[in-house]
Amino acid sequence: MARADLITSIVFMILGLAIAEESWRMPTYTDVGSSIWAAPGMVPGLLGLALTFMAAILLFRSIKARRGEGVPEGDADDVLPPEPGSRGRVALTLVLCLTYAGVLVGNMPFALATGLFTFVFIMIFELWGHPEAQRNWLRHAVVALIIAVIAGWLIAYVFSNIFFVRLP
Amino acid sequence: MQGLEYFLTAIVSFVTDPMALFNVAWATLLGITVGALPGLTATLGIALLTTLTFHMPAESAILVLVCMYVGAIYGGSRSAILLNIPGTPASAATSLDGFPLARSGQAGRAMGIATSGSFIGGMIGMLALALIAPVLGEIALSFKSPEFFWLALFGILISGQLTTTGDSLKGWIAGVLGLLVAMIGQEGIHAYQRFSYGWTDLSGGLALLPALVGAFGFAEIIGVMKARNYETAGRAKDRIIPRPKEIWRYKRTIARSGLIGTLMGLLPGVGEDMGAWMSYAAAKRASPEKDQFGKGAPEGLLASETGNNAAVPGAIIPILTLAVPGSAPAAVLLAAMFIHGIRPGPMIMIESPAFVFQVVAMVFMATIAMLVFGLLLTKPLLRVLSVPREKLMPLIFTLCTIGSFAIAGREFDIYVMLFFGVTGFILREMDYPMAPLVLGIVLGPLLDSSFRRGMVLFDGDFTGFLIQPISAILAAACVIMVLASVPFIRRPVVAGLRRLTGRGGADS
Amino acid sequence: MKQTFALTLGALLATTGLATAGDWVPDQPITIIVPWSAGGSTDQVTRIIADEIHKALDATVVVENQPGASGSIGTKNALDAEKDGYTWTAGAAQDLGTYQVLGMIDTSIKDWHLYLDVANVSVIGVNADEPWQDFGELLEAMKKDPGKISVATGGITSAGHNAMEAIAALAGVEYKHVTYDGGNPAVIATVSGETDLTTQLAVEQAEMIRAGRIRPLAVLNDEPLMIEGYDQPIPPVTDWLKDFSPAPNYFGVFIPDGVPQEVIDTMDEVWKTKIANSEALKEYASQRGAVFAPYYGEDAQKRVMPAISKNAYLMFDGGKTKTDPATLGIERLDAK
Repeated sequence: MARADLITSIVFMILGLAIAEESWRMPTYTDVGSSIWAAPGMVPGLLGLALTFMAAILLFRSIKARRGEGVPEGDADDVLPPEPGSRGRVALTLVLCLTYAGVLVGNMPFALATGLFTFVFIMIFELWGHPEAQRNWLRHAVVALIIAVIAGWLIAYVFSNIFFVRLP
Repeated sequence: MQGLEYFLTAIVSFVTDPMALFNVAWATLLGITVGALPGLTATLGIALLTTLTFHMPAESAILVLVCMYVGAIYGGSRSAILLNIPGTPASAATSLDGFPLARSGQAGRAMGIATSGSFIGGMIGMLALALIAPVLGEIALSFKSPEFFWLALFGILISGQLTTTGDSLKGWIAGVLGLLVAMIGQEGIHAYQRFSYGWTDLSGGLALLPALVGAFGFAEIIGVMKARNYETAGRAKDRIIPRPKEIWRYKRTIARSGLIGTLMGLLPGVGEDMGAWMSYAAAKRASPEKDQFGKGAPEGLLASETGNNAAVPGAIIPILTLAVPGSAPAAVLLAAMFIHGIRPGPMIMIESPAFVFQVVAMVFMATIAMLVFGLLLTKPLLRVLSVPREKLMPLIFTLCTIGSFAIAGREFDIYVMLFFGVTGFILREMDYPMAPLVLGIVLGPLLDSSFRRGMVLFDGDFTGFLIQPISAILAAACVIMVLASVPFIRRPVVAGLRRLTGRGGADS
Repeated sequence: MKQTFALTLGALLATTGLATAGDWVPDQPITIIVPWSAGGSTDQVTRIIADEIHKALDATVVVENQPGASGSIGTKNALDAEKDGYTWTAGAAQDLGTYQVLGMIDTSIKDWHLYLDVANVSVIGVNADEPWQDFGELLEAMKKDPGKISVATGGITSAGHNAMEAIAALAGVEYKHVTYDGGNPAVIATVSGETDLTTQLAVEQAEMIRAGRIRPLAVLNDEPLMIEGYDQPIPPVTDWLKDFSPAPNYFGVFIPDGVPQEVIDTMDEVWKTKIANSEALKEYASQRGAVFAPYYGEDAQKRVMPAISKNAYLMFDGGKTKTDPATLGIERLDAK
């Protein structure tokens, strides 16, 4: 964790300073008779400095921890614990979810997008790495298809007809 | 005693009217559903029903809305316990102990405890509403800019401390990040657009709900899918209706949480979420089993759920006595009263005291209905736990997506949700808690405007923030909490306290 | 099926003479985007209007809250929506008319069909414990202690700030401007004693005035204002400041230009026959201290101009915008 903290603390310090700098450059409206304390940049500026300060403490601590540990190797994977396949699973989840919410929704009927997403998501994660499930793929596909059809239709129906929400 | 008569008359009229009972039933049930679905909140639910109940007589319409409100705040605890995804911001503290309990196979017990807590909290708030509403309304008026500033800061500090183990630093960083997110968009004093760079969507600020759904919902989905082997929390076979003894044990916690929740509810701009956080913090401080908090302590769960439901009648108090809403959902309830020709305000106790006690009776009916449905629904809801993640997670993600969109009908909010999901996941992997971040987004505008407004009022003299008694106490609490986290200050103090009291426990 | 039903119903109503003269028969829900939070003054009155339209057209009317950026986000969405007549917005005409000046949305008030419902006026209300008994005394106090007396408003673009700026300019006084996140919080701050007075709308102060927590000193209009339940009329500010020219703040629903003509014809008819006689709206107005104002068409355009002009030049003179309203066709109305 010390290595991750080292990186993030530097990121947060830069972020905090950038925010403080941006806040400093905001108009103060003192020329039209407003108090300097009411300037828009006042609170974000202070918060930016607070973030920088706390990140500096974190930086100091992570350096101390790394020195104390004295084992620089082996913590390369501490952001994602070294469980086999977990990175792949995270990546796959991200790809599926971002494709659905970022691309499909809004470019095709909502019910269709939802059904498609649900089906693909279930199929991939049920079959991937499960040889037994792969042999029975047809059964899995039928179940996933039923869920996908019902989910797509039901969610679209409930939100548009009961909650009066316009679908994307 | 006149009040009791009004109350009983109202109760009798509700109980003997099948239509009223039917309304209570469906509205509470819908409320629980809305609260439990990630992405739908009490505010949205009440706003929708305000339109749908337009043609009902005023009394029935307000009854339906109160039931929706009570149901939705309670409903948020269902998804918080079962999925670690708080359905509303008010349930973030609930998931701290509720989810660990559920993972250890005690989901039924957890939901039973939460239901009892919500019920008792609702009742405590209701009593306050019935007995001392005018007095409490005046308390709300004693909170001015300095008090709100310190309260907002205290909320962030306490939430950052409670959601981290040992060291609060990462919790506070998350809190400050949340506050900074709240700074995006047009600010309230000069209407200057901060950090928006001419982008219309950003100039309105990032909405709370998509951020909440992303940081809690989407991030949790990624986290669940990450694990190679994921055991569904076995079919819970534990009791659903808690033993009275188990609840009675925590009577002090319950009473305290009920009072704190009511107080937080009645302060404008500070809502059910702070009711839960403050109750939880106070319970942890007073509890002999501090180390169990966050690992599935029934006491913590009870405190949080009592606190947020007590805040509901609490938030109704200033609606009635001042025509000022205590929270976002309460604002919509107030609007509905205006639309139905009811004029809440300082005159209502004189002009129509009967209405005040009718509202008390409505809260009573809603709380009873919530208890009944809560216990009936626990068994079927437990089935959610046995659905494999491969099938459950895509459905939840779909709800997160449409929920983010639904609040304002713009696709930008979906991207906000995705952003907070991915960022939230990365931060969670590095032990940054998400709850202070979300609370920071909630409290950011309050902190910002009350600080700057106070400085304008005091002509730039910061001592104005310290001289009133309430603000002085809150300021001291903030300073002590920060100082106590600095090791070379804490150690000698703790040692000194140990010597004084002859026992440990000052360390939090 | 739904459509046939609506059509038959429309035909039926037409033959019985109940229907409006325009021939627009909505076959899908009408959405009114309220660009402010649920519960605010726009939201309240719009929900009443939504119901009146529902009754007049027999169509589902959905009120959708899209708050943010002083109402510009929701307004922009209504402007960008398909021009089929099913997406409207609502709010105060003076806001709609100044988005362009502020550089928020590129739209002029002329790009909209205005259907006004009520007009709101500002009231100068002081905390009941303050010593000033009439507006003259308050002005004296402000002159004696420039910049010390604090005034609560709902923000820089709010009606309350407009009102106080107008007074300050006419009477030559200075004040301490304290802004809140809306009209109601500003009123509460005055009741709690955090600020000395507020110049927010009568609607927002009515209950506190009735309860004796706020003492109304003057209304920013040229005629007195009666609030139901308050025993005496509130004197007009013109009793002290003769040159004050009133600019009532009109609220209404707005339909973007470019929608089918039949929509406009039908709505004109609805406003003429239904809204002008709406008991619900009249009752709302009298209870809340607002002025019933069912105007539409050219008449409405003419009525909203003074407030827009005042607001726009207030922003321009105060350095809030670099755009000269004159370049956008907004004339300076009051000599200042």
